[in-house]
Amino acid sequence: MADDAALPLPASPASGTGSRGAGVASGLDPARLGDLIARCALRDQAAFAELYRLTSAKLFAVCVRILRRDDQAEEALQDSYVNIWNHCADYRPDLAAPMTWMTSIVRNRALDLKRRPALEVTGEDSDAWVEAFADQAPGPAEQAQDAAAARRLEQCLDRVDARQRQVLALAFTHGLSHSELAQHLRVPLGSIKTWIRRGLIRLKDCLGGVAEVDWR
Amino acid sequence: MPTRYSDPRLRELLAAEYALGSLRGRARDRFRSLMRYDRGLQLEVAQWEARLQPIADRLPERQPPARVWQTIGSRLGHESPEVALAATASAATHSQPPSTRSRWGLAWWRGLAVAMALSTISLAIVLRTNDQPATGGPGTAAIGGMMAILTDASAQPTMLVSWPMQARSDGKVELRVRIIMDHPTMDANTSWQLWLMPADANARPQSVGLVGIEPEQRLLVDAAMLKALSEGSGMALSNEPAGGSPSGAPSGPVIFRGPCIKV
Repeated sequence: MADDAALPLPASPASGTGSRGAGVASGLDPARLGDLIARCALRDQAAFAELYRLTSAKLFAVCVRILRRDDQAEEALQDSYVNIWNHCADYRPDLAAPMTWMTSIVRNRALDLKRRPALEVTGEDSDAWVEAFADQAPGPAEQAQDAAAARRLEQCLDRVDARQRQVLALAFTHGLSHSELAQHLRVPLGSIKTWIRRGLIRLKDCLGGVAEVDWR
Repeated sequence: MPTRYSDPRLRELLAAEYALGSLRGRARDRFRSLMRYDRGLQLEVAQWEARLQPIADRLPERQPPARVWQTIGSRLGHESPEVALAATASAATHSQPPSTRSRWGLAWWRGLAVAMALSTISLAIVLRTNDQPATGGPGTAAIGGMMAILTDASAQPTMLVSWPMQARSDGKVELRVRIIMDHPTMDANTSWQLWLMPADANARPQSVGLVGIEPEQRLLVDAAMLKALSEGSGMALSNEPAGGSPSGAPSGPVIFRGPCIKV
């Protein structure tokens, strides 16, 4: 219904779907995203359409990982972009890079919508992103502005105990709570809490304070 | 409680777990409301989000279906969503099965479960409202009120409305509205309008008033509405043009709804 009346969405220029990390180099120039968000604050619908075109595949991936159901992931994505449009005037470039700001809106919404525990998270799946750091030959992501941050995180994760790393990965990418983690990994709740806390402390010691947002 | 949150190590750990996503449920809600007025915590969370962002950046992309963008456009009023409006509004006012239980279905029970959790708060609200002197002389029931727990389409509780069975001395009935969802957002150029669903499913819903997105709100209605309020079967919130429905009946989609219960 009313499909034909929908907003014109600029066709994505030959963006190969599903290519790992392709978006980082192709369109996610932080300065450009920041500019689009500023124009959205001025109620520029074309800027919003462009922002959606550039970022939705990245953010949808975040939703799908956490919610594991396409219908819920779509709902989370819709709500998030409505929030982004309504709150783009509140965006604070000094506090967060554009993609970080949008990701946090999306993650928060997805976590709110996630009511049921994700039952079948396979170990393989949960390690996927850790491996992505380890195995990936220098690719498009390396040319991205945040390549340095990604490499730093990769190195620091290497120094975190394997169990702690796994717990952090599951919590972040799949949105698992303490008790879901305990259930999934079959370890006591107390251990989960300790691993998370230690993992985070190690990570922070290694990464240090985040340098001033330097994406501009 | 506030002293607990002044421990810098605890603050940092909570900020980190919030950004990581492992802080959940009520702890997450509490932290979020704490963060709202705490610049230090906002900064702490922002730093952790920046630290962890490379993980999200590395997830393989996934193109969402085209309908997602269409829905976003229509929700934001970037196009005329009349078709959807008419359908939902008529579903809300007619075609409701008679029994309260089946009418509200699963959402009602989920809402009730949350109401249990919130009952202390809501009861306190009702009681506090009732503390105010009433027009009635001695002997009028001092305790007793009603509430409605509204849920969204996915049965998530979103809003709590409570009111006493009596008018205030100025002839008004005061309704407390509590938004209990995490990110209330109102689409551009629209208003939220609260409706009382009468006991008779064929009667027209009565407007209670316009509601904002602030966590705590009050609505005042004339005492003349008290009878209808005490007999109401449920409440519904619809998305209306800015300023409310022009027709006096819900014209936009009903986004939240829930039954009235006596407390």
